[in-house]
Amino acid sequence: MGVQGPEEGRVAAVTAGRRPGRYTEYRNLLFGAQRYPKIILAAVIAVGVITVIIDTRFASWLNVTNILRAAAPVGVAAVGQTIVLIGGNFDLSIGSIAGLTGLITAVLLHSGLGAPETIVLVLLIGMGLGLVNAVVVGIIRINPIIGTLGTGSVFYGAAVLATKGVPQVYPREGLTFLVTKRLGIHPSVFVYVGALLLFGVFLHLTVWGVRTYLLGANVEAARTSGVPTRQTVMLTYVISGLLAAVGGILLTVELGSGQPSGGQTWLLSTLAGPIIGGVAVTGGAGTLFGAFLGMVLISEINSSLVFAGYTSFARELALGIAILVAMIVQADSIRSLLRTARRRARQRVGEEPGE
Amino acid sequence: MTAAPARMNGNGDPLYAGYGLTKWFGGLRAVHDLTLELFAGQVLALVGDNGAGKSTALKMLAGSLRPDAGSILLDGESVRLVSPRTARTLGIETVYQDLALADTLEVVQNVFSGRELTRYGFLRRAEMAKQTVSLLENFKVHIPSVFAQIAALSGGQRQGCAISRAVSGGSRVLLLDEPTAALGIAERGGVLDLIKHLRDAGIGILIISHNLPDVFEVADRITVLRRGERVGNVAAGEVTATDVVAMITGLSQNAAAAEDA
Repeated sequence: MGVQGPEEGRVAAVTAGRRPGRYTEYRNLLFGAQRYPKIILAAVIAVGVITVIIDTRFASWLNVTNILRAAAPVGVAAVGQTIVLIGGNFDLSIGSIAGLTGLITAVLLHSGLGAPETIVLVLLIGMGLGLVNAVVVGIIRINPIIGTLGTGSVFYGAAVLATKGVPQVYPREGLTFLVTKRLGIHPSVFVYVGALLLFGVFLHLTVWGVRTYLLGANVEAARTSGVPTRQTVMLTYVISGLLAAVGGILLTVELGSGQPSGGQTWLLSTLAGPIIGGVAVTGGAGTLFGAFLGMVLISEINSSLVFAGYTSFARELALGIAILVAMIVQADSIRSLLRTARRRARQRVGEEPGE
Repeated sequence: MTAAPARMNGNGDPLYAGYGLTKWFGGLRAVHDLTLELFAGQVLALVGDNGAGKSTALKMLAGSLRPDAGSILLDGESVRLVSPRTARTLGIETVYQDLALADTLEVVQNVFSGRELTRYGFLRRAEMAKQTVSLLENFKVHIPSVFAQIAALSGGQRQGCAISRAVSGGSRVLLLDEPTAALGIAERGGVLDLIKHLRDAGIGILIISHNLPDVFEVADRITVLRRGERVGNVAAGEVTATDVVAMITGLSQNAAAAEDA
């Protein structure tokens, strides 16, 4: 700027000497502009260290891979939720889509259809169910919370009605490639990591990904920039439906049968992972890496509770506390409070040499 | 300011102009038979009291409002602006008062929003960063980093980014709605310098402002609106702030006589 205050002059001096380097260029993609996921990374390590002190078996390869395995089915679905959240919407039907598609997986395998055909068909159905949400939110413009709660209820209702609530068995040899461990790691972990990489690239390195962010950050800005907002919203829901179906298949493999109410606990957990990992419920902020760390932290805490001698009944409480703590740390009111405190501290330090 | 002859007289053909622009909102006539002419390398200030129709006029030129009557000409040829997007493809860029920037996104992402550089469908982040650095350096907009969040910038830095973004695509017409509102004195000077810089680069600029000192600092011509009608269109060098205030409020008998166009 032409006329500079002392503050601005300082900033300008910094700019002159610093060119964007390789690291800065991609750092935001992992940690986001707020760097919030770094705190979660620290929390993941801290919980790990504490639990290892209680019981060294916590750090065993088996347990570490089990933590990832437990996070995988819901984690894959949470990848979809993350994309929808960044676009400024919600998908509260993910659990129901996972339950319904998981059920269909079992029914199709039971009817004698081959595994590849079943998977392709189920993924298409998932995308179709996602498209229903896409139409409800993107075209009819129903509030995403109410809209997807409604569609989710329909999907769940259909699953329950069709089966009268009875789990559907399927031949064990149907999906063996999703059961047999490779390199000591459960296949669902590979699927999860694959989904993270694939959609990480989509979200952070493609035009559609950046449009999703823009949409969630400022719809008006997105529209005036010429972003096809409606199509972008719809795309996020179709992706979410697809990933919910992948999660549904993994869930059915995990449970050994297709259960109509299979994904019903996912409503909270697909939201909790991303939110704990720094994905803004207001849209436009957060990263897939952060969402991954959030899911890992939840799964790690669940495992940690067992090692610390608590029953699984403590999980819900721990999850609730984790979400609240994460929201409090990210709250604007708290952040500005911390900023003021830091500035005061800096001023105090600055004054001393002069005295 | 030593002005180029073309800028002084404005006698050449206007770069971008609206003639007979009229807009009704229900029974309310917001703008009536308005003529606005923008010349390349000139700044036209549109002033008037609250509710005089300034924003409505700007929105019609920006393509976000369809005039009920009148025509819009670019390079002397009639254009139909179906949407802000149409206007943008014609090289007509608008920066609104509320800054159409995405707060949570990086400066680079904002500057290139809607026209990202890609190769094989993937974003070229390094290239976009490089271009953003040179763009902002060129306009003397200083920011900590092109990967900084917009929310972390000051009001002047944000306005600088918004304007730089608007002209980065090689646009020829720039419409600015209250570009210096809510800025400190130093930052205001910076934004005005940026506007002059763009004017000297040959862009035709329309600026809406309530701040008359700002208007007199950058404007070549001043068009005054009152109750949706043009009540004055004067060269900035030939009037005083008092004259303009008189035209805005309609208190002076001579206001109508000031129409020299």
